[in-house]
Amino acid sequence: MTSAADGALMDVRDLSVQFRARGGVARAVDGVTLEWRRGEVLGVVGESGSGKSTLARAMLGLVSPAAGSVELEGRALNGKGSLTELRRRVQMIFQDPYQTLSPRQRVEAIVTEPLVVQGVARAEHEARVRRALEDVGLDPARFLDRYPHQLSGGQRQRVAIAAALVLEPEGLICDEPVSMLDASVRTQILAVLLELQRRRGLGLLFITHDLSLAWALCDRIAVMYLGRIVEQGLATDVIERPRHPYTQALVTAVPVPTAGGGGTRELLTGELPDATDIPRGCRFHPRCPRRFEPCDQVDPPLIPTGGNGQVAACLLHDPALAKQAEAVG
Amino acid sequence: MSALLEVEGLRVTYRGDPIVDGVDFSLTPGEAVGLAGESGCGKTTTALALMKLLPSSLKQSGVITLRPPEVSEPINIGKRTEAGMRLVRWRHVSLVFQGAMNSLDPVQRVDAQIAEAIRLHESVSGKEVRERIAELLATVGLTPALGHRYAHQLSGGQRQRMMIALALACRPSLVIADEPTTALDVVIQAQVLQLLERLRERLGLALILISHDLGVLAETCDRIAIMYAGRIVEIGQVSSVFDAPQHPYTKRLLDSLPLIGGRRGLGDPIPGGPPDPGEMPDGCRFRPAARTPPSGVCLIRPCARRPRATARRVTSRPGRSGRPPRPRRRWAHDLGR
Repeated sequence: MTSAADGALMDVRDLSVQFRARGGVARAVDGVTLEWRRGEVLGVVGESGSGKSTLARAMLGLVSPAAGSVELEGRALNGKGSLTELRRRVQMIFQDPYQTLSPRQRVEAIVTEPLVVQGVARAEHEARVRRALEDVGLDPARFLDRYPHQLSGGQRQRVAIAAALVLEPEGLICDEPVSMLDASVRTQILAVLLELQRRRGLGLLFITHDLSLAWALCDRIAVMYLGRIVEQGLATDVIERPRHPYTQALVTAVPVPTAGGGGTRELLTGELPDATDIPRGCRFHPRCPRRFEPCDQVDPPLIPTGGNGQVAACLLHDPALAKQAEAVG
Repeated sequence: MSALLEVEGLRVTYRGDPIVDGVDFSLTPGEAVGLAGESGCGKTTTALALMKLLPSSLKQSGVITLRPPEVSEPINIGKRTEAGMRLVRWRHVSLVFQGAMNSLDPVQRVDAQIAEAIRLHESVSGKEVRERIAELLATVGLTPALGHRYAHQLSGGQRQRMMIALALACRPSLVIADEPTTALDVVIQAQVLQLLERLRERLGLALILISHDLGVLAETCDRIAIMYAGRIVEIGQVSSVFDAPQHPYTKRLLDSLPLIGGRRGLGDPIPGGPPDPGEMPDGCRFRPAARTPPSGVCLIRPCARRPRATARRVTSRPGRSGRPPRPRRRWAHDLGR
């Protein structure tokens, strides 16, 4: 967990992704700006439907943006050539280790495929595949010839990571990498990822709905709500001192594994609105316990809320409006 | 107070291999007990065995006694036939499954499913059924209009509320909830847990809550049982299990959870995985995974149950491979049939 602040690996600038949906256009990602630094463990947290997976897919060019740009080390991505380069340098692993691996391919073929796609010299294949498997803690002699159905969930996820790492990328986007795994397997997989981060400076971008996990592992966290980043900052700041009412509600809702749990608490009512019908003004205002006068009119930008670069998209932190908010209570 | 449910020596085997291997516990009326453990430890199998819903390839034995307050004679579930169980399911004990999408009938409106459960157990007029449904929906915080929808027209949180309404339709004294919030987001999960807690208070409902998420159990339960490889390895009041876990497995499990405000970073992973049902090791079952035998005792004879029921016992049986089949899917409202 080092904050190697030596420049951005990827930059997302004012990115929007839209889908045609029943009832209109779903604005899945709606103006997101995010910097992912080299070697950094960055967390993107939010509920399902908040747009965090769509953001990750757009970052790898798996869905095309409606507006805005994705940059790799300052160069915008356009055309097939830049996508090939991007995917050599930034890879992705997905949530479900049962669906990501082809059932008809052996582990060897699965892990070799990225090398073939990227045109790596054939002579290098075997050594690199073996090294990738060893890196994720699988003995090549035992696993090269197996099919996915002969593997446990944890082993499958390791194979998926090996296939992502065989190109020796600089960044790995992990979309809920452990949410389907048991506590003990989960820790094993996360340990593999963090070890690679430490040893090789591999940047990790964790997409997760698990706040305690993000808090424990990430350098920085961005909180998404309805396609927008509503709060961002150091993991410790965002989770221990959340400034946006939504983040505060999320943190309160986390079940606490201690005797008596988290005690009594105020819960958010209702559910995430539809992305085809994003509320006017602040998109969180219909559910916000602390809304005041201008919230249904003004769409708040990210406002600095203190040290360490913590920002929150909430009018409570607008100095001009803060007085008014106090008056309301 | 006499126990509402008593489970003694519950065993479930698949081709002779134990999936659940001697589970004992009891539940007083209105009490909430959590069953925790990793996938494959037997917690769902235990729940299905309590309702006798296991597929026929799994054999169950042991004594399960249910004493609902509204019935004078205790119900011996182990001896009940399928026809006899239909009178028990939904009426006295009901089950809320993990994936509400998969347990509601996709081609029937949800209120019709609730009506069916009520009519199967009670002869009541149509008007009464409609009133009951409206009351049930209000209890779980849903508007009556949502009752006319199909399952796919509801959100995940609404479906799980609907499942809870269905489970309460015949006013059972015990609800078994198997991972009721696992597929839900953290905010919706907190809402559903709060609902379960309120229902317990209001209706005096007893609850068996199954989850791999220890946080969820800590929030909701009075007592908690930790299962490992088909057995309860530790059971006690939530406060004592969480504050002073006695079994090494419970300790490792608690250590592996990130706790906001606690130590950041990763806990030590528990190496390896639990043993397969056909290949249970001699001695303590947890030892091979932990690779830290506390003493030679675990290898040669059963650990006695300690005061807080820290049980480690020996089974020694020749292994046979083969995984148990997954339980057949049924729609929730079929279970009363």
